[in-house]
Amino acid sequence: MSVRYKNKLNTFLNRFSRKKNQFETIASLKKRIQMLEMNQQNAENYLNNIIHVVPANIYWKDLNCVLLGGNLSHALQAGFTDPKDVIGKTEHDFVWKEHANEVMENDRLIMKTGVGRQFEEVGMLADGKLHTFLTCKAPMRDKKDQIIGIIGVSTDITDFKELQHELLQLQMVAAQTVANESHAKAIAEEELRKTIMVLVGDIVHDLRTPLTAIKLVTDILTTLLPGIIDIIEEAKNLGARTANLLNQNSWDYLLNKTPITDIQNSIVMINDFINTTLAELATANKAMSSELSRDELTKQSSRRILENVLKAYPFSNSEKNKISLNITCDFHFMGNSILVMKLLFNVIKNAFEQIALNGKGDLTISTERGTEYNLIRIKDTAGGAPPEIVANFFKGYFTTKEKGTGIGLAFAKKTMVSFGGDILCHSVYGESMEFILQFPLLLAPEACVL
Amino acid sequence: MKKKILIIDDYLPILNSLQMILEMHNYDVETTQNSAYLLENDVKLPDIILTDYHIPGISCGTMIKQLKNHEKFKHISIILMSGGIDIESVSSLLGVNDFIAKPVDLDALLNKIERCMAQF
Repeated sequence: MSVRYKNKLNTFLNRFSRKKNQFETIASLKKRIQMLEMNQQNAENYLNNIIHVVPANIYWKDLNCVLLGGNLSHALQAGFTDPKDVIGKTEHDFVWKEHANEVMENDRLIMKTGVGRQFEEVGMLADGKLHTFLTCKAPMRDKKDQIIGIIGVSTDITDFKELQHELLQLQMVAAQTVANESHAKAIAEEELRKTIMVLVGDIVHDLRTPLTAIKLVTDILTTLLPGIIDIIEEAKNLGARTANLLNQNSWDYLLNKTPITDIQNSIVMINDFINTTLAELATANKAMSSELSRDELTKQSSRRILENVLKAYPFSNSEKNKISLNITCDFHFMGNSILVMKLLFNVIKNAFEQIALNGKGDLTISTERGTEYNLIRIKDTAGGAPPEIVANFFKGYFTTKEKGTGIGLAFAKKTMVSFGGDILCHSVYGESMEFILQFPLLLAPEACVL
Repeated sequence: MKKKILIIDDYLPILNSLQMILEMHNYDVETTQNSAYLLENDVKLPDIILTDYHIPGISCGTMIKQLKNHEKFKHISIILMSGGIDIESVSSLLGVNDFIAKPVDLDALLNKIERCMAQF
């Protein structure tokens, strides 16, 4: 083959090869287009599937609020069976047409302002019930960011709203019940206090009545005694045998009016006791009703109070060995000694009952100075109590004891609050229980006295 | 002429001893356990009634109200005695001339009686 033909053949082969590549590229492009078309169809199918299974109404409209499309849920609720049927319709064609103007007004506003909104809508559906929807609507835009319509998602929250309403009603009923119970409890407490005070008044009256008679008799005797003594002396002078029965001691006893003075002093003591008891009861009553004013509080020494409590508390022999007093510092507070002693008696009594019940533990009472409050701590190691029990300690009428009233610790709380302080309880279940009495610091700083 | 005092109390020892004491102080004394005694009986009127608050029969409050509203009795001074805890407020409510707490302080009682008598 000549060189010339050889070159031509090569040129042809090259051109053929290029053409072949071009044909292959076109075929490949066609394949890719087919694949893309398939993918697009798949994507649309996926999207449609997703839109149709979403448990909410999805729809989109043009600028004139004419439906461009929607999902199956939307079509069904609007009163149609196929999503295609809603295309070209407006809200006036749907079952909720009574609310159409309101809905379309909202749509126009969103398209005008370009700002999406979330709000609740109501509409009457085919079931004849008024449904509530949580609707989220946003403007629909083209590639140039121009608003071309609106897209919305509405979720039927009717059941949720009904539940919410029922819950609200229940909460109101519960709140009312609690308020009624609380009110009834307060009335019962007030009635109890009044009854106690009436009872106390009756007891005082019944005590003072015979006391009055005794006192009046002593007044009569005081008046008559000089005359009686004169008569006895005269009788003695006349040698009357019975007059001489009185020895010198008896005579002196009569002359000095000692028996009458003794009776009169006893009457004063009893009456003072009644008056003091009345005053203490009135103070306790005020503390229970939180009416104790600051003017009625007096300066108290923590050391003296604790020492008096230990002197006065009726400890058994075994209890005496289980209590220790650790006064590292004496502090003063404004309070009422009777109320604090009563409170401490209560806490100590509870602790010893727990010690006896669990067969273990001892009791330590200590004082402590603080920056905000000065403290008295009463700690027993009888085993503590579970948190759910401790949480109810100060609520009143709560007791774990067979014969308890549940008033003791509620009284303690009210007492400490009436002093401007508080009482706290720290319990480590299985180990210990500690009551902490918080007393506000006195205004003037005081030195720590041992 | 002796001034007359009517004592009303349900407790006999108090009636007896007060009667003796007041007679020793030269008063004409009559005693009763019946709150309606004066209203129900035609007796010589007392100048002063010394009455306990807790008395049998009609209540002390009713008795005082009836006496004060009656032309025949309204001039009589009334001194209230009580061992109750609220004697001051009760006396004020009842509008009595004076009151004295039990156990009675004799000197205080005699002063109050004299003061009431002086008003006549």
